[in-house]
Amino acid sequence: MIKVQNINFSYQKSDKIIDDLSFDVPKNSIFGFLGANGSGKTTAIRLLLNLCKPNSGEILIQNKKIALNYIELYKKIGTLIEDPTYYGHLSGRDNLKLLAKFYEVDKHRIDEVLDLVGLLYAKDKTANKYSLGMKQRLGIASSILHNPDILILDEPLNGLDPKGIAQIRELFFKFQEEKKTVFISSHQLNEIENTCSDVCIIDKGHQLFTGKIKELKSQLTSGESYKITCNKVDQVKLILSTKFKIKSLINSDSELTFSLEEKENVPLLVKELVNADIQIFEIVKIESNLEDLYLTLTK
Amino acid sequence: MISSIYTSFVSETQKVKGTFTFWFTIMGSLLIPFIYFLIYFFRFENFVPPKDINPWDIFIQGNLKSIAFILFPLHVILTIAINLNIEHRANSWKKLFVLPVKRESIYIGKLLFLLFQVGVSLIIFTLSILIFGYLLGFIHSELNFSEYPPKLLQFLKSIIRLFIAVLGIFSIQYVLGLFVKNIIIPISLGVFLTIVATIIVQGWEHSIYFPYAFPMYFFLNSNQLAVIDTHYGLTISEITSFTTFIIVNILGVIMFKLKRIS
Repeated sequence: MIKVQNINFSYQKSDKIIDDLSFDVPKNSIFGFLGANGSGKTTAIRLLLNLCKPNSGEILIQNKKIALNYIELYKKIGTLIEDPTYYGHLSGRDNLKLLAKFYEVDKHRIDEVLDLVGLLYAKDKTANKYSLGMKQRLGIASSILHNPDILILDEPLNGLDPKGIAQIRELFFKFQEEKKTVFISSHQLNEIENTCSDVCIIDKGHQLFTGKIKELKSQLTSGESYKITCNKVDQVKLILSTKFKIKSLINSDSELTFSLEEKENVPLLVKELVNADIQIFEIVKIESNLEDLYLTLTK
Repeated sequence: MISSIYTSFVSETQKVKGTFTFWFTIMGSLLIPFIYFLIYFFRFENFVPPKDINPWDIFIQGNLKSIAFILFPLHVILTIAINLNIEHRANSWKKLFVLPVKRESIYIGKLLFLLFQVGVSLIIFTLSILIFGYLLGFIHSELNFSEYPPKLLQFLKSIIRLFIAVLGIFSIQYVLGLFVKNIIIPISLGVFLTIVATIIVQGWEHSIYFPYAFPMYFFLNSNQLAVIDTHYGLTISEITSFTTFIIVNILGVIMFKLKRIS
């Protein structure tokens, strides 16, 4: 759906903002674009939208070069770039009315999208009086006004409360059900993990990983991690290091965290510990979250 | 292209709804005619015309010269700056540039709207002079405003020439306002250049090529070159103003197309 091929961008020759960035956004996916502040996310989005021209490389959206077909493609893309854009002296409804003219959208659609983002009750209030979260919702409403096939949103969850985040997340899922593609840049890793199927992680303008979150997990973690709570921790540690292939081992007074290469070893380990008269209070599998993976990747 | 320019123009009319720029257009245009009205109203005995003299000539010329020298250029400078500041304040370029229209349409739509706004100012100015004139004639019949008709054709011709004379300033301020985020910069530069114009227009022969001086020739007819009629029925400064408008806007469109959102 979106194909970024070896793009490079810098304001000055010595200062590369985007360094040979390539990734594919699959159709009908919710794609997370991750990176620390200043990693080049917003610049990459501007390049995606033809607001800046790359020094080299190519960007294709729906198999068309954005640089040559931007007007046609803008009809199919909804955007939110950094802070939401709104005219503070106009009401939320009037703000959308301005855009509706350009997209040739019926007026009833305005109320429909305001309802979708939970802003219908405040449609006649001037945007200056909106809270941060309401402004963000207005920004999202303006990006979906023309029912685009692709949404490109830069930090869309900024300023939203937990209820707002859940509501917008549902909206993204609804979009996915409607066979649309959602591209979200964010540094809220939890939200990306809960929302996105695919991610691209960049650091200093350079791509570190692109693919499914599952693939990232299997790439960065060999085996599976477990935590055991028991008595005789030192004895367990000894059994683990002598009889099982463990990747890492961290211990405290009553807990041990370790990685086993094969999950078939878990019942064997339990048997060994019971035979050694060790009391097991709890044994749980630890899932690596996106934050751990992100930190490992950008270390 | 035409339809997207029209859309852009219509959206501009909606953007100014309830803003200062809307009231500025109306109040700014009424100011001088209202002051003239007050002066005539309270000191009417000083303005009773000799027999067989049309009082409208002095009344209209007085109004025109008062705005042309400095107030109308300043009005244009402020109108453009205040209007473009709506975009800068909303940080809306990034949104405007991803609309499914060419950037030229946005540029031209905005330009046409501002020209319309300046045109409306002149229409309000013209009508208010006529209304105040007739009102004075009604209140103080000795001023003879009811006895003579205003020379409308000549008046309209002057208004159109004033409009053309201000196009040079208009284009420079427009392009400046589009690219400079800080509203203070185009306003101060415009005011500074207008002040420079008030000085050079009185003695420097080449001031006829200085855009900020063009409207001033309505007030000051000392520079012979400036008032020479060409075969187009316009003065050199008016033709230069129109040419400046075309050249600056061609450059402006090119720059606007290349404007990078950073």
